[in-house]
Amino acid sequence: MEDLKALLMPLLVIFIISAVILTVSALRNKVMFKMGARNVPRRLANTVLTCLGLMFAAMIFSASFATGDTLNHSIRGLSAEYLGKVDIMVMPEGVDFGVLQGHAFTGTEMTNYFDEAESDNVRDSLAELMDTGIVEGVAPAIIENVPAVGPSRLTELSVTLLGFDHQHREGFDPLVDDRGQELSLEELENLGKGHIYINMDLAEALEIGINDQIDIFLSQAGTPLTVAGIYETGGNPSTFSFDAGATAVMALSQLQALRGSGEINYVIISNQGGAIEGAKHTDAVMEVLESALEGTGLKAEPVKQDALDEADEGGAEFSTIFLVLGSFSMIAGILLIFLIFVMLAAERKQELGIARAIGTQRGHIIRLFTFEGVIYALIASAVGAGLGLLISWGGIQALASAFKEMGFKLEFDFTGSGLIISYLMGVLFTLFIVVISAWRVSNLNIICAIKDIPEPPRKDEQSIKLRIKNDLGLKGLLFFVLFVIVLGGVSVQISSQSIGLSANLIVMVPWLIWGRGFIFLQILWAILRKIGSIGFVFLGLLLIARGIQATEWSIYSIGMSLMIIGLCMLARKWPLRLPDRPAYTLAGIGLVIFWLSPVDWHPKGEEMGAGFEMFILTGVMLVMGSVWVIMYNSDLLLKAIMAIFGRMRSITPMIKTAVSYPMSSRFRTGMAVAMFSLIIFTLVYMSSMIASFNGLLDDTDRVTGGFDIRSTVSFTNPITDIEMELQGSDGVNFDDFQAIGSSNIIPTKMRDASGTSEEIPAATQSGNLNDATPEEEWTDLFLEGVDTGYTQNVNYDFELMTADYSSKEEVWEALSKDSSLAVVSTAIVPTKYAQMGGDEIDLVIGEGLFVVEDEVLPDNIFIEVQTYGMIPETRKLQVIGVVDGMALYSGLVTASQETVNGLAGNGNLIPPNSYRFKVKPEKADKVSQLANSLEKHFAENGMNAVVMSEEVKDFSKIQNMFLNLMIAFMALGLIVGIAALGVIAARSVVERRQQVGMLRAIGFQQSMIQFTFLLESSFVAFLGILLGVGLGVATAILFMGEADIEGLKVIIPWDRIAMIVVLTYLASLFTTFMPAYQAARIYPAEALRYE
Amino acid sequence: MLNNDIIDVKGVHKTYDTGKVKVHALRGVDLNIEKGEMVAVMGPSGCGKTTLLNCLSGIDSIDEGEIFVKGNHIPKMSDKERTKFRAEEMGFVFQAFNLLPVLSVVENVELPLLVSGVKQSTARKKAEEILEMVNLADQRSKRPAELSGGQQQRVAVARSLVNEPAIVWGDEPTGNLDSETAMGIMEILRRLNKEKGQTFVLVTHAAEVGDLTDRIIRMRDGVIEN
Repeated sequence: MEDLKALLMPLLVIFIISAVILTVSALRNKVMFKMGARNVPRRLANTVLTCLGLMFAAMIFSASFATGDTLNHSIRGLSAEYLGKVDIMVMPEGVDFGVLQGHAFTGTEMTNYFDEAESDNVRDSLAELMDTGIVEGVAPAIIENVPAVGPSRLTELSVTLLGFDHQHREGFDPLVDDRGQELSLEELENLGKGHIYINMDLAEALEIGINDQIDIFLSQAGTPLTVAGIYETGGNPSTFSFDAGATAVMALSQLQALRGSGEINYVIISNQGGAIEGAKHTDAVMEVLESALEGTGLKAEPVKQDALDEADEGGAEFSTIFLVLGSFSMIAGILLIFLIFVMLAAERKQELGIARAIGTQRGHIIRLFTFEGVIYALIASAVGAGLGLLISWGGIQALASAFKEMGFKLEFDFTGSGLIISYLMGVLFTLFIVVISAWRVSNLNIICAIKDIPEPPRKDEQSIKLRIKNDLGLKGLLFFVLFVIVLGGVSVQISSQSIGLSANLIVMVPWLIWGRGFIFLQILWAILRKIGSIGFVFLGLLLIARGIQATEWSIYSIGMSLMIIGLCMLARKWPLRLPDRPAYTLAGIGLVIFWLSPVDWHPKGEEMGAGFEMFILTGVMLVMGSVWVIMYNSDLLLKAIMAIFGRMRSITPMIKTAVSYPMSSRFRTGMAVAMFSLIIFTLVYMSSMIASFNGLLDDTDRVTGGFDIRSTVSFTNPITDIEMELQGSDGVNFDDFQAIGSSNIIPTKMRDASGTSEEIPAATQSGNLNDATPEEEWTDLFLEGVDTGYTQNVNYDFELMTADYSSKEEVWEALSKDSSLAVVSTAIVPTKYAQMGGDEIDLVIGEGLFVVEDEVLPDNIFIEVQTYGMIPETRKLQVIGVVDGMALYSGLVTASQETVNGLAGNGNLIPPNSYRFKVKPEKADKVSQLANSLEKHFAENGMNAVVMSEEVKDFSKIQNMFLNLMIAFMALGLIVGIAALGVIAARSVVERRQQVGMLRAIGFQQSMIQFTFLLESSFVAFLGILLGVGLGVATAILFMGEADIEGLKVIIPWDRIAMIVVLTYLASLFTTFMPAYQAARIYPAEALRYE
Repeated sequence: MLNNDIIDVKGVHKTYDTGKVKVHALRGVDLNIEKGEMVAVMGPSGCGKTTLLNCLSGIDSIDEGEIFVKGNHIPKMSDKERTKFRAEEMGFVFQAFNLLPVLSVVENVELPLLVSGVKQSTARKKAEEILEMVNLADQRSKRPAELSGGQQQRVAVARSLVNEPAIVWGDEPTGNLDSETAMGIMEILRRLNKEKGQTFVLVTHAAEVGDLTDRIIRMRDGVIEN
């Protein structure tokens, strides 16, 4: 989004240039400007509909930006809440602040604690920055996640316990209670051992107050502490989690005494400025720290800046997703703008003809329409940008409730720059389309326009050579250079992202407005017409070859489409001389067959990659092909309709006229049908996709691996032997469980080592990190080690296995027995399809050697794992399986517990911190009770037990809510189609006034006229809707049938589709009701006099 | 009303109020037309010819007076009744032909029958018969735009007669045609009038059209002169 927001200045410049050009042009062509401006209030209903159509670009932009801004703002708010004024944290290498807080390596050389003196060293190194005020505070700290138990045995499983030194609190958030009084750390220290401040969340969770006692579990034995005060704010930094509410603060010295060591595990640093603003000094402080910490085994993490960057990325991702989804609406919007202006021109055909007859140039006509269009664009984009905010606000309100349940406060927000960009984008985008439309409508035959008769087939007025010589000249050539540069920019952008395309196209607007561009475009068009079909075929062939070579579906498909169209157009020429109808019909059928054909029909089809752009291309091409077929064979459709309804005498004349009119106006009907079907296509496809993928989540066992409960325990107080503890327990019956699996984890650096099966040379086995081959960057990832309880009972399947194994059981067994093996998630292996959204993981293994869509995993896929610390351990693990993509609970890289312990070095054992329980089938109804009992029994270990099926359900619920919101956003595009129908209907009433008068004269009742008009709109709407439904369902069946995802059944949500159809139809009926009513009220005597 | 009168008009007044000015289009028209008669209404532009035709046929309302067509008091009928009456008893031929451009010749002709609820196949048969009578059977599948002006007006004539109306109203039926074609149309109308005994009321400027009718009614300033 920041990239998009960088567009502000260029956009403003283009806007100003365009405004200047238009103003100068208006001053030089005052009459044209007056005519254009006076056309705006001429027919209010038309103006409203026109603005409705033109506001779409701005609306989509502003809704997308505001949604992104909201997420950004909310994540920033959250970071400010949990990090407070802490901007940078110093910690040992290999440790992360956050998820795995307090990873227990105590007793090994990998401990995450270090000498408190390091804090002074950090302060010394930052002395200069502290003097200048850039750094406000440097403090030693202990930060641990611990379980806490209250006097009434109420438990809080995850409390951020903070140890602060009262001498180093300057620059950090003070602890303030609900009355605004500051709690003194010095006083706490003076109270002596056994005292603690807690925050209100913890007090509420444990139902305790001041002077009550709580037990915290820094180790197996709980420590009783007395609550000396309760604060509302200031317990920062707490670990990140949506509901990380519970924090507690102790004096550093006392916490150190409790741990039996004078060490600390963090140094926290606060920069000048508040919670958010402080981050701006991050670079300056980090630069100093990085050099100061070199060789100490410590590192500095810019936690605040990282959080803010994440917020920006999250926001940008949101904006992009919505912009991409909105692109369908924008395409439909382009069609509508085009349609509106062509219809406006048709309405004013006679006056334009007369204007041309008395000496008005084509350029004047273009300006006339452009002036009018600019006024619409200025109004419509403002309305659109505002409406976009409203839509985004509505969507956020809907989502906020779901996020609130997770503890995440989603607060609506938008930035001025986002709003201005949306407005400018809207105006310029609309202006561009308006100019193109104006150019097209200016191309009229004067006599035909005055007589209001159809245009004859167009012939090239002048030879291309003559035009280049006479009209283009030197100036034109300069424009040509500019055009090539702009076009170059456009094509580069096409290959990178669709948003850039519109931005670049906008650059062309000033040039086009100036007028010279048109001469060039006309010449270009004439050349294209000359080489047209052969050029299409030739270009198509080139793209096909390129697509196959680069194994890119999009390039190949565009090439094939161009070739299909080109060949059919070519058939219209000598010697075949095929008439338009069979030529376009064949082209349409060809396109539909091609875009719906299975992958294996095409050379290298199985290997070709594709991204989201294929979805957009598929929609556009299928709709285009189908609309051609329908529009060029309308008589067959009419016959079919009459065969069905012809027997109903009372409505026969109405059906006949209602269907004949739209079928004889190919252009406008085709456009309206295309708008409807394009949007309905996306809605149907997306709905089907969601329904089908939801079906996958219904197979809970596949998602959970067959386990029923998952749990984590505190690192500070792990469980020594869970089976033994359960066997002797009163609260939980060990016999209720069929299996218990456990896993331990270790933070590591990983990198791809595929392509060779050689062992790592002994020298690097415990070598330094710097020995790493420079080509492959390390990525910080956790390695999960599972025990046999897990491997023998998990039923996760594999997307891929090496040829050595024939079943999933064999892979899991091998993993448990051989500590040089690993299995990985689909998230870190290459795929031929582009991924959209989601967190990007830097590590990809075996790139170029295989893709997840393959049949067998090669045996040369390796992953190199290295631990942190002064003497890092390194292992090279062979990847023997890629776990099923639906295995949501499987780690990114999984090995055996022995592998993890081996990496810990020196015979250290890393205790498990995560457990999975399989409940006996006969106890299946007691899963929730068992989870509760487990939590109670292991409260002191901080056990958090979750029923996995319920979690999957909740996940699915939130995911659906989000996806539904996206569908609703896409459905906005339907307004385009509906507006188009309204515009067409309103225009038809004016156009057919006399004919309506005649129909009334020969006996059509008022109600019949109204019904005819409604029927006509209904026919167009239904045609578009049904086409969209048909294409959407067909594509869904085809795409998902080919998706190669085990267990994926194509589910078409007919109930939802029916709802979409009915609502769309009703809305279109509503828009056409007024024009139909007006048509019915036409007074025949007046209409027939109308000449 | 005499038994043979199909149209009986007494003291009809019609004023157009445009908001700024009032135009007194008909100032007390009295008129009788017999069944089977072919009448031409003539007069200078703006004398109220078309207004009279519109009021008589019920597509326009009157302010005062009585209009009986086939014994039905037109001003007292509701819009719905008038429309139904037109569909069953009247046919129209306009100067601008007013054919539906999106329908073929035969579809245009059969339209009044379909409006009256006639079965599609019967309507088609009748439309083809009447096209035969106006010598356009071979053009039945064409669209109006593919025909000449004279042919289009013949289609309009066929459409006006297809439901065998009692009265055919023609508003400048030859106004858009050259004199030769105009005479051709008039001959057809005359022939059909004689063969079918239908009443024709034609508003026209052309003296030669008037000469072919049974009687000429002359109008000036909203009143009938003769």
